[in-house]
Amino acid sequence: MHEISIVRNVFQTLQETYPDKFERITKVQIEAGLLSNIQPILIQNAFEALIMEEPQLADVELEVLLLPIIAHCHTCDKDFEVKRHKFVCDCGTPSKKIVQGEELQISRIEFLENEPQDIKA
Amino acid sequence: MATELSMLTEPIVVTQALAGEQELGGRTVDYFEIEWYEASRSKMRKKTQGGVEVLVDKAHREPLEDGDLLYLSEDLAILLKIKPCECVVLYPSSLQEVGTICFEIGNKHVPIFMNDAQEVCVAYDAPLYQLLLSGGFVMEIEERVLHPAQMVKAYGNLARKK
Repeated sequence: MHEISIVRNVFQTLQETYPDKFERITKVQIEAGLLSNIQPILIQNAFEALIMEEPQLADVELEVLLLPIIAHCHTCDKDFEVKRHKFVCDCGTPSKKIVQGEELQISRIEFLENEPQDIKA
Repeated sequence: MATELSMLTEPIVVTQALAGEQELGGRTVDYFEIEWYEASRSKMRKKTQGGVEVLVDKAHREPLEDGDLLYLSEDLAILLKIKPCECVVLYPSSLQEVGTICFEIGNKHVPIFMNDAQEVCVAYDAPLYQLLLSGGFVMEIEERVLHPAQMVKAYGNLARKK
């Protein structure tokens, strides 16, 4: 429900970080963990709405990657994927140590006539 | 031909779906796969299952639909495929229950889909599932393809009938 402000913040951050190259951004990739409470459809819709407000963004591709929840099992000393929010390892041990799934970050930016840049912002 | 196309440095540019009901004949059929929430994206660049690079660059906001024909040449047809996803599938027993379900889900601004089997579907989300569970609704978690044309709009009509 707060996706419009998130999308605005993403592009504000990029403008501040790359003032000279901002106009040359062709693609922005956002990673959103399943625990981040982000709905990718709402991010996409918010971006389409932002384009209407700021038409210069129409040439930018915005991709949202959903990251599964990964937790760590102390008994097995292994990471496991949490499915349907059941934080229980195959061995039966519950775990609350989250390794992945809470992220909400800009993970990749591509610029016109430039190499892509992997970042975590 | 698909192999040759996959070696191109420039992608195939798609500005809109081609007219439906075209005879594919003996062409190789390749699929451009997207997630359900990407159907409205105006711009996206991906490889097809066969490795052909495609750039969707729509001038309009009409969503793409599962099965849309994106490209057609003498040898190759590229069709859009929406990946199935885990959904909460609800089986309302009355129109009033449909309204209650849509109200609960709508409060979270999450799109609701009603398919031809009169199922109410929403992409799986654990907190939402728990909320609906506490409401005593009959539901299952199952894989479904969420078609943009079956998305329920706030004013109660379906988005686009094919």
